[in-house]
Amino acid sequence: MKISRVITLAVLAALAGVLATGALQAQTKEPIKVGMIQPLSGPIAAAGSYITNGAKIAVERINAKGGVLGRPLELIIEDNKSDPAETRNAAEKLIVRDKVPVIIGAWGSSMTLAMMPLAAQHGIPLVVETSSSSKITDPKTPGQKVVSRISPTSELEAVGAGALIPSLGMKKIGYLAVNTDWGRGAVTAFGEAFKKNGATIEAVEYVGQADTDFYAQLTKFKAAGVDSVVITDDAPKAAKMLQQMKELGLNVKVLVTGGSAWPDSIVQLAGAKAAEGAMFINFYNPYDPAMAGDAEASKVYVEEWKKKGLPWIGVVEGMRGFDAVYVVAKAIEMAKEPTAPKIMTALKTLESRGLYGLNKFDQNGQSYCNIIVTQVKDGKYSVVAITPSTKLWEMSAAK
Amino acid sequence: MIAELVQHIVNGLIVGGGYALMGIGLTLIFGIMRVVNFAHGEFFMMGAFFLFTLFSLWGVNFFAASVLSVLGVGVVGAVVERLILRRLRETPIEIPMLATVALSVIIQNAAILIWDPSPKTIKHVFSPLPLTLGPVHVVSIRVFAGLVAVALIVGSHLLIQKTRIGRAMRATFQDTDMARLAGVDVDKVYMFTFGFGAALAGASGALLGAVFWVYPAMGDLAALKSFAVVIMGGLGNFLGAIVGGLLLGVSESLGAGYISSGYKDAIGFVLIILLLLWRPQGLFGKKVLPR
Repeated sequence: MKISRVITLAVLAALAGVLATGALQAQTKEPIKVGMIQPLSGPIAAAGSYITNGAKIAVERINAKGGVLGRPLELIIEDNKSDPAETRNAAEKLIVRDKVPVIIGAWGSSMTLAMMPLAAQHGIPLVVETSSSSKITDPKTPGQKVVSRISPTSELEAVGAGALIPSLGMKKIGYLAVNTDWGRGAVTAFGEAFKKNGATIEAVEYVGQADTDFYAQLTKFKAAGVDSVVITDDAPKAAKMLQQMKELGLNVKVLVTGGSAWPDSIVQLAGAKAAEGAMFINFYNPYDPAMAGDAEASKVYVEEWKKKGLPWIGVVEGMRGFDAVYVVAKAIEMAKEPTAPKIMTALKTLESRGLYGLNKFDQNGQSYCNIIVTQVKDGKYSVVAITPSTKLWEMSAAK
Repeated sequence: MIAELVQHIVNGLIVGGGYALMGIGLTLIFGIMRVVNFAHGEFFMMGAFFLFTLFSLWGVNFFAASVLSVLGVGVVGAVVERLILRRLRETPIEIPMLATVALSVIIQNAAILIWDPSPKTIKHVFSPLPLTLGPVHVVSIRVFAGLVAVALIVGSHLLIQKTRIGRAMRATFQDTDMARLAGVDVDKVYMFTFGFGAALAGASGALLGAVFWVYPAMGDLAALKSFAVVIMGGLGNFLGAIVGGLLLGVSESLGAGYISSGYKDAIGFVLIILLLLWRPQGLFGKKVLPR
């Protein structure tokens, strides 16, 4: 009895000692928390895992160079389960429990829109890395004032790719889009761009987030006699759509918008045959660092991605997380202290060259990134055209 | 116009075959064991991942790998019954139900850790080029999936009707105590039933996984649909699960084709609500297992 009590006391004393030294260290170099919300389970979990991996690469690189304001960054990642309601819960957890001064998230437009009012209520700045619905940076949307978005809107994609549209030779279009704010927004934006160029949208079909079978929609397109299909969805679903088009004997031109699908991912997921000729709107080219806003960062990012053995098909998605962390780090540095209001102010005037291009924000919190049109040619990645981020900034300034 | 209609129906029947397989597994487990299995979608997912691992990663022959995957899921099902559900048998119905909910979360997250969440394609042995029958296009993997589904449904029917274990299952279904008195080893029947039901879900997952793709959350929607199928056909009813599965597959395909693809999943469920208003016990609710 007595001996055990002595042992217990000794253990407790040792433990207290450990805790005390730990606390001491934390006081001198307490990490700066950065919240991140991504879909890590559910139908779009793959995309979320790529982005968190990209973000981790950025955090490691920043911390290896001494962190921000002499303190390391600590990424606190929450899973939104590919669901808008869960996104709001995750944001609440990050704000109330972890007291993060800034949040990166939340992949899907519907998910981002769901957490914006809450973030605005607490005055927490949001750095949006993927979502493309124009509602997010519309001043009429609740919570818009806390948003800084580095990903482009569908409208911006259409503008960036616009010069190319007449040469694509698309006349009768079937539009296949995911049934979310992203998909619906893209149909409006691209629908207008195509109409301006003399093409007609024959049919618009929406698909569920977890759908795998698109025979019904594609059969309809076939009956309508379309000569091209425009797709707005993530890479795995776009790959399946291309594959099923070939299965149904629907051999037409294809353009995939949104930036998540790119030649390598589609070749791997659907096979080179089904992918051949398909075109994509992308924002990043991992093969050519010079195309990014910061060539050195692009090189390091791709090397790290390979070194970690991460899936190559995710490299184009992962850069969104990488850039978002650098934008946040720069904002904290400018703010001189990691508090929400200071970071929010810093974001308004920030300029950061990254993988997306030149990240800075207009009066609505929107950045203009590189718009690159790519294509699968002989089973390989090839670039069709590029509208650089800097040119889009000039165009908007001229307006 | 006719060609389009036929194409929609063919598409619907093939997907419906997969729903029917899922539904039979679920309805047997409920009918015989009174367990509402919320982990059914995870057995579906496991079937697909086992096939992916054996065939795509380890290079086992496609057909051998398919059989092994289905048996593997059956074994996992039997182990789950033996280790978890058997201990909860005398508890109220919601306790085993909660256990299967927990199991579903654990298995799905384990799959994310083991295989990572990116979707995998099973590069099966069939030609990707379509078979053309007039204006209708079908790829051979879908024909294969449809035929195997039919074979498994017929096989399950024969197993229940013609074999010793099938007779024991039917006896347990009618009256557990009487079956026990008549010398039926009820423990064995329960373990077999759960393993068998899980294996059918696994078979459905392996087939549809080869047609579409494989990822950890693939069971969510499949499980939801199999519940719909079983409720539509009448809980615990074998024939009901088959008809319910095919009906759901075809109505989804036609609904997406002629009404709106944005509401594809909703159309199936609206149909179920209408059907239940008309027949609350389901299509075949009065009849129980085929005698």
